[in-house]
Amino acid sequence: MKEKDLYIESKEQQMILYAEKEDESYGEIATGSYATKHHLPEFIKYKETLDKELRKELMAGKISPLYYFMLMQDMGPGDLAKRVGVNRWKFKKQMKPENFDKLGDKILEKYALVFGVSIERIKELKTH
Amino acid sequence: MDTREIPFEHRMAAHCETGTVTALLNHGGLTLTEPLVFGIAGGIFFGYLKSPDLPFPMFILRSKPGNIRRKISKRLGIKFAESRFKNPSEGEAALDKAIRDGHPTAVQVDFFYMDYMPEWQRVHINAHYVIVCGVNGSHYTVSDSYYKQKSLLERQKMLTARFAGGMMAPKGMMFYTDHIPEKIDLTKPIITGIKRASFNMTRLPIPFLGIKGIHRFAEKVKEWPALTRDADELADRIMRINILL
Repeated sequence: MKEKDLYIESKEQQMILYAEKEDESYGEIATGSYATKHHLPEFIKYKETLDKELRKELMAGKISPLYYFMLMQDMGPGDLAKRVGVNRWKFKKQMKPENFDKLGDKILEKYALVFGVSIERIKELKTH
Repeated sequence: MDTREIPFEHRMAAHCETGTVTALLNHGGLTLTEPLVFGIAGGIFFGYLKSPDLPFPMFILRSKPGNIRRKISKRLGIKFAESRFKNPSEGEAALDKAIRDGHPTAVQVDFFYMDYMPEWQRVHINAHYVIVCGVNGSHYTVSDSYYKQKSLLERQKMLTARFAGGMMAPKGMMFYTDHIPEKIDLTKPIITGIKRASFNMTRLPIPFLGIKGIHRFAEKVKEWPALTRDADELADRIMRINILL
């Protein structure tokens, strides 16, 4: 592809692509991303809707904060269990909303590390 | 904790692994371009993957993570000092030591913890490579080929990212160039790379890999709207593939 067909003016995500230049040589160009420029607003809107829906369920006590973070960060249950270092069935048990208050700080710390947030954030998610 | 900054030229690249390997080689005095590294390693590949474990079909465009480093090392005779660790604190000490000795070091990390990236871009994927080229008390200087400049990353975040669990867990994997031969003849490695890449793309007898994979993808992409609830979710999925590529 030619350089001028490929170049996209966008500040959101800069990337390097390899393309044919004006003088027919082949080299790298720094450009914006096509998909990011056109679909980023939709993507962010989708995330916000997901966030709202999940928070509503969280308030109603249908899901636990752990489940909320799992879906927001797009992980599967098996993947998350492996990252935290707990057994899969144990994770299923810990994920239930009625069991959340029983979890100790030690295990919550492991979850907080994987989610990249503080323990307080996980605990106070219901109130904010 | 002492401070050490290695003079290192930051460049953006199209792919994280070829980017890091190229940058390390250039730093070591062997000038190769990124496409040349990609070609010699035979990095091109296609696979259309769909399985019950995956939430959505995905496709891959490059060979397995780690392959480019291994093939470059094998075909050009370059030695990388590689290490993996069971114990996180050992891994941290080894990284500090490598930087203090003056080696820019590539580490395998979970992309999610690279918090200089915008938040929407950060996803949990264990196969990301960055170069650490400085340590400054509680921060590392990181040269990420997906980002426009060098950035700082907290020590704790780096440790979590290097020892993330899950699929393709990095296990603190780090490497730096140990030995680069004086004279390198590129003719043979280039031919091997092309042969290998063409074999992988055209000869593998599996219907979802290589050229056959591209054909399958072209057929199956028509069914994608039916796999999602609405247009928003489809956009979200496509966006996510765009981030990972």
